Amino acid sequence: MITVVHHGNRNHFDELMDRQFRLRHEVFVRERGWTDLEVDGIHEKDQYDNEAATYLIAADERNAVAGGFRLYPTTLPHMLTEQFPALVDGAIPQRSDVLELTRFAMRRSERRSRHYFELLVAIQEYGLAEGLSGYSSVISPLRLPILQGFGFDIEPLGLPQLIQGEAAIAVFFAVSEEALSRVRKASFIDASVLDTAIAQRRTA
Amino acid sequence: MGSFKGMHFQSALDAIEAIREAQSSAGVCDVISGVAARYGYDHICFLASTGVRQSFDDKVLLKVWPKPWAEQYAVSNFYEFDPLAPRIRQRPESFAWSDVRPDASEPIANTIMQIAAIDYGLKYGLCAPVHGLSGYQAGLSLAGRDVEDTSEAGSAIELVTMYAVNRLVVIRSQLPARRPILSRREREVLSWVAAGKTAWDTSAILKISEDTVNKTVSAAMHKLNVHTRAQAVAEAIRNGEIDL
Repeated sequence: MITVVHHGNRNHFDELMDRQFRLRHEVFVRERGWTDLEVDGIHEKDQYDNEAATYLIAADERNAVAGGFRLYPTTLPHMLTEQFPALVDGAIPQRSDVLELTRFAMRRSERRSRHYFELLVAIQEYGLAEGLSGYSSVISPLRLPILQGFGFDIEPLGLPQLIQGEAAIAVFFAVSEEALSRVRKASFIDASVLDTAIAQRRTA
Repeated sequence: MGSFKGMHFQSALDAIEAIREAQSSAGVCDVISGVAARYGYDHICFLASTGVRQSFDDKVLLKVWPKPWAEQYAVSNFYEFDPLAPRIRQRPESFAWSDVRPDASEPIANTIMQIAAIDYGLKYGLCAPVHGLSGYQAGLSLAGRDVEDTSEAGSAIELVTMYAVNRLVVIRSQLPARRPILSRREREVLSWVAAGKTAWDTSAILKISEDTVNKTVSAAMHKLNVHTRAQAVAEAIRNGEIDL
């Protein structure tokens, strides 16, 4: 199951969020060497981890975090407008129905697991539930064929470029019923992956 | 956006749009040819893996090579020793031919590179592998004498190749499945051959006589027009009659 954490329910999920920031440290600082994101040697956080952010987190029954990603409104200053405008050739999508997807992190042992597949399905499911047209994101170009293989419709927002020695491309993932059913089929997941208890808590 | 960068991105977007509209693999290959020509590449080799061991010619989606080079490549069995081929399969990153430096222990690989460069004037080459969910899927290898070898041009080619391969997979999945020519029993028996079982094993598993197993395999070989069990397995997999 994927837990959706946002400003409105954040206080219910202190432990889960702490584990999420620790996993991000493990993946982005220790493994990928993005040392400028170092906070305290345990957690990874940046200026976009604030009240406007939403987190989709894959955790098991014991609350161990397998992976997750962060969503941020494109109507506010976000990574594409502030850090990577050079990756976009043309207008940067800045609309209320487009969120920026960042910090997709998986625990090393979970990279081809059910949790990973659930997170991919959740991208589409959450997008449809929230009425989004899609997500902007910066990914490695090498992931593009893999995500296409899962059934994502991906529009490039610019050409791949090297950013500090790493190849990167800005893309737009379109949200649609068709894409959701393709991703479900490719990942063998029929049921909803979003934790509905959370959705209720949000409206309560 | 009147910069060079904008121009390359726009041409990539145009190609991606044309690929989306292509209804056949030939249509996708036309777009690839157009992109290659735009950047000055006149040698094109576009290979796809179908997941089975197959000959060089079976992997080729598109090949635009001058006749003498194509003949020499085939006759001398260059594919077996071509240093670009394993790199395309093993690593997903695009690379220039000049990045590939076979060491002295691979004299044939060196010779192939030299023949390509000196005898055929292939001064500059670029390879764009595409690795998907289950690893290597396809690779585009381009070469020419007077090409635009900027990183933007390389990025545009790399991007278009990814969309081309994805489209080819979608087109292939929409093709009507080839009509099976094997009987259910023949497919069943060949599956066990593929799994490495002997005729005796298979007879025990399927509770039929060993003689029946052998006759069934022979019948399948006849239908598939092959001469060995290994060929029969390969052909049956290729036709989608059995899975691995």
